[in-house]
Amino acid sequence: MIRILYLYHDLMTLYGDNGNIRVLEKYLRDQGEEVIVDRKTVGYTLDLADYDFIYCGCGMERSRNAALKHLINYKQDMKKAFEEGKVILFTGNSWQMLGKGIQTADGEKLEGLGLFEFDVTEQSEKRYVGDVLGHARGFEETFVGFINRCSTVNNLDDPFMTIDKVIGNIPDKTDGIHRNNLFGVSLNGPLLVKNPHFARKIVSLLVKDYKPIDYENERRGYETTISELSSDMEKHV
Amino acid sequence: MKKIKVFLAVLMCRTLRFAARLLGRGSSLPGKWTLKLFPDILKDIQLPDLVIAVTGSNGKTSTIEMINRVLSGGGLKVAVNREGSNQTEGVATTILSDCTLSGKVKSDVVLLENDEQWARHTFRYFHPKYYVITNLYRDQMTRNGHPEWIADKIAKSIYDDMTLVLNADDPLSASFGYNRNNVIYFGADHLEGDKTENNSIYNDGNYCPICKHPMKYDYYHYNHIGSYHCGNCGYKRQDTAYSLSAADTNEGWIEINGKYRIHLAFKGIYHCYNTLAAFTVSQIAGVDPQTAVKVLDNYNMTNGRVQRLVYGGREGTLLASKHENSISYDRSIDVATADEKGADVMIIVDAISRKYFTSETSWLWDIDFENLNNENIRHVVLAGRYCYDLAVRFEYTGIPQEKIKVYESIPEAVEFLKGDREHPFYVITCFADSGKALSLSEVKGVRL
Repeated sequence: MIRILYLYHDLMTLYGDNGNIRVLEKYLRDQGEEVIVDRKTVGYTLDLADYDFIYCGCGMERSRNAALKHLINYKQDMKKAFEEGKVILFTGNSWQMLGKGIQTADGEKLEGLGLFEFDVTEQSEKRYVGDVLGHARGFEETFVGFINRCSTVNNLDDPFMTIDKVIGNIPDKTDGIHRNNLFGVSLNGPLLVKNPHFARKIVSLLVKDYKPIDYENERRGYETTISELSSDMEKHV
Repeated sequence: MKKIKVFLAVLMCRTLRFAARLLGRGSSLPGKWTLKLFPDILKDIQLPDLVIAVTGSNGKTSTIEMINRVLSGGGLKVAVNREGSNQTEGVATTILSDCTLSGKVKSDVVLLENDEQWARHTFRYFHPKYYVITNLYRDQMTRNGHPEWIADKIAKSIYDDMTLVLNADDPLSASFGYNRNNVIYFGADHLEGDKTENNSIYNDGNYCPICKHPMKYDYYHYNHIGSYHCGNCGYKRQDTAYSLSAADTNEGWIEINGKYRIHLAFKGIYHCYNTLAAFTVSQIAGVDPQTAVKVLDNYNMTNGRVQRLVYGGREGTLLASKHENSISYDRSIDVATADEKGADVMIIVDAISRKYFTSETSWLWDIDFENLNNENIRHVVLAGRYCYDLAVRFEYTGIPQEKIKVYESIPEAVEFLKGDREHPFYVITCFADSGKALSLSEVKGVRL
């Protein structure tokens, strides 16, 4: 039995992020596991210790701030879950909640969950958007995805991903966090669908005897995207 | 000095427009070059009393087209910017080309489609009297960020002297009217077929755009469009001056304010809203309501959103949808599932428009493809370069796998569709990929 907590499912799902939980549920069942997904949002009580996996996706900035104001009530619980090695995935702009704090575009200073030393400043004039190809520690395969943000992460030590190529105006060379079994990455939307290797990693952390399964459509979709983006890169150079 | 400046600017724009037309070039160029020499020239132009601007995510072009027809039908001379030239340069081209050399606009009405992100730049120089905001949806987020980001940009284009004309049923668009007096709302009353639950994959009306507390809906017309109220700050749907008092999207008619019945050449719910917006503007502009009804009755859009297709003698319909815009796809899906004759549906996601420099397919997970799991749908054909991304998505729709066909090659997918001549089919794809479906049709250029 694997219990999933899908945090802020109705608030932090900006660009198909729901796909991550939908595929993960299926992949875990394919491994022979029973799966329960609890969808909890602002106004709910959270018992983080009850879950094997915690996920949060991307949201509009004000939505993310509303989520943070709720999640900050569980600062100690989050710290405990992180330190005990619970599998946690925060994607899009949600991992920005895990640092020291967020300076919002309106000038508000929001306290962060304090699991990491970075801090975030946000503005409302310019967005950084684009497709990216990158590499992450512990993965041979290329990561592919889409970043859409208006924030800057400062003092990010030991990032999760190196950004190799961008189509768009993303200035970053690195992105995300990974320590213990917590992953944070700015890729937006259904990144577990688009990066089958990353989905395999999350599944293998959650099940005892992981057996590899080839998902043909996902694999071919991934190959198409890599090939299209690589040729696009050439067109845009 | 000012007179000479205006004279030169108008002359320059007119000359460039003439030259651009000879060369078959775009309609933004004359304004662009004129603005380079005279950046604030729009401040010095004598505009007519009626300057009407339209912005929003979906339906701008259709709404503008209908407003133009209905105002013209009411005897008003309208200067309007052409589709796609909706940034400051295009607006300048339209206005300066319509001026006398002394800088007075000749038309009775200036009607402007405005890009959501650019309106704040354009309206630094002049203010439209009426500012229509149709809706704010997830739309090309690779370019637009997200709906609240766009709303913040639009907010910077709004001034106190404008009268806002807002879609009351869209909480984010209507929020521009919050604590404001000069607002005219349009929207739909409680209609037959409304839902009390929102079963869409996402609901952008879940949280109040003013205070981010949960909102409650009495009913939904579609997606997050409906009647809402916030239990925390009291923000709620406002009463409408122009209302769809009844609508039947099967028979294809709407009734406005309980007395004006308009038949629709195209039956989608968004067409009901666009028609209502056009009617609303016509009344603000003083057009006789019966004239407005007459012009809008059975009005055929010329923008190519819906076109007839024939494959191997089989009759079908192209429903061109907005790229990276899940609500646009949701509404196309509604049209296909409403066809009781039982249809095949082909979805094409091919080499996505280079205009947006992206191969992003995340938005496929925001579309309610689940609704194609319907007894009226016979087969779902997934085609194009991204057919496997589609195929993964469709594994989660509950549609029996034997009803789903996957073809990377669009001609091969069309061959499959040719195998049945009895039932209709629909092709749902984005505008950029529409040409690929049309080029394989045996009948060309028939707009519905």
